[in-house]
Amino acid sequence: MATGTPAAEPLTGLAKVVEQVKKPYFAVFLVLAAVTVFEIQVPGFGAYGIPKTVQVTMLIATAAAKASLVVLYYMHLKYEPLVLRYVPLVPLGLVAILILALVV
Amino acid sequence: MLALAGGVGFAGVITYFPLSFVGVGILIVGLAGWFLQDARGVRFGEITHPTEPGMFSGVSIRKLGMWFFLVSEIFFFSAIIGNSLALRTRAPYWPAPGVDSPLNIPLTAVNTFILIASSFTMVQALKGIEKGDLRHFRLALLATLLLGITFVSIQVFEYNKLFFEEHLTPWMNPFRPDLATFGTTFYMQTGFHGAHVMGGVIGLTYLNVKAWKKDWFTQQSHEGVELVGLYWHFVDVVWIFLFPIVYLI
Repeated sequence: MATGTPAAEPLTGLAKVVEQVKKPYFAVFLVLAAVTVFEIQVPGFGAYGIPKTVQVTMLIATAAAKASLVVLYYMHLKYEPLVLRYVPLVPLGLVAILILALVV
Repeated sequence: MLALAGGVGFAGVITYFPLSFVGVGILIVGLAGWFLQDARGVRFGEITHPTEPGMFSGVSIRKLGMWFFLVSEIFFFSAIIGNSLALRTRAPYWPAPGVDSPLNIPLTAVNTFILIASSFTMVQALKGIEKGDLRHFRLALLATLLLGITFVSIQVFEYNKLFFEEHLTPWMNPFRPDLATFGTTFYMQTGFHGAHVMGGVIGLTYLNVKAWKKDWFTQQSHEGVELVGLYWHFVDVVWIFLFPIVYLI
């Protein structure tokens, strides 16, 4: 188990709460799971008269929200320097043009 | 080397098939070089110096490289998803989810949970090594690997059922000619994603092996864990979009 460096002291009390608020990994996991449960229900919304266009919009919006959570918190982009945040953001405009050009 | 191997390999598949063996050869040479470096004790987990002063000063050069690689992957998957949507909008028939689609939504939903859970355990592994807690790090890393293997196994099971029982093939099938385009787009999107998950599983296997070596990853030196983690989370992000597009819409 030796690492050559001593293990950090486990956080307790307020320091632990602050750490969990700053990097809410478990909360993000719960949100991702809950939104996925919602997504699975969406194809059945047609039975309640909700049009397909609305269903598709809902699914794209929830997918974008889930992806943002993973990128910001699990991939730590929220904690990276501002310039690094633009690296994956800039191509999204080109991606939107590509998708629209292919589909429309 | 991997990109060159992939490029030549795919060019061979499309144009002159023996050329694809050249791609396989380049892949083997690239991997052999990597393993040789590893056998000689090159440390891939070292902290690298930040980039030189300029636009990206203060950012680790390897992390920056990984992000640029992920940007190229965004374009790769956007092209595949965009083409699939283009084919779909022009197809005369498309099965509706939960009505006449042969795809198993409940099983894939379970697989989606598995991939999300693996992202959570991956970030826990990084948290563990950042705090110098080797037990937490190793357990979380092992859990991530097992979840990744489970995801691939379920996908193989699903492919087996779809191909042999539902007659969903990537090409025109006399049993289900109506599903030709649907099959092509389904296997193209999920297949390339599955190949990426396999790549991630290989990376995670490497990390798991090294995690048990004394002083390989430490609280101060663990960038390799973060880089493989970035790739693994990206694979999760791609699935977050593919699941609704392929299975639910």
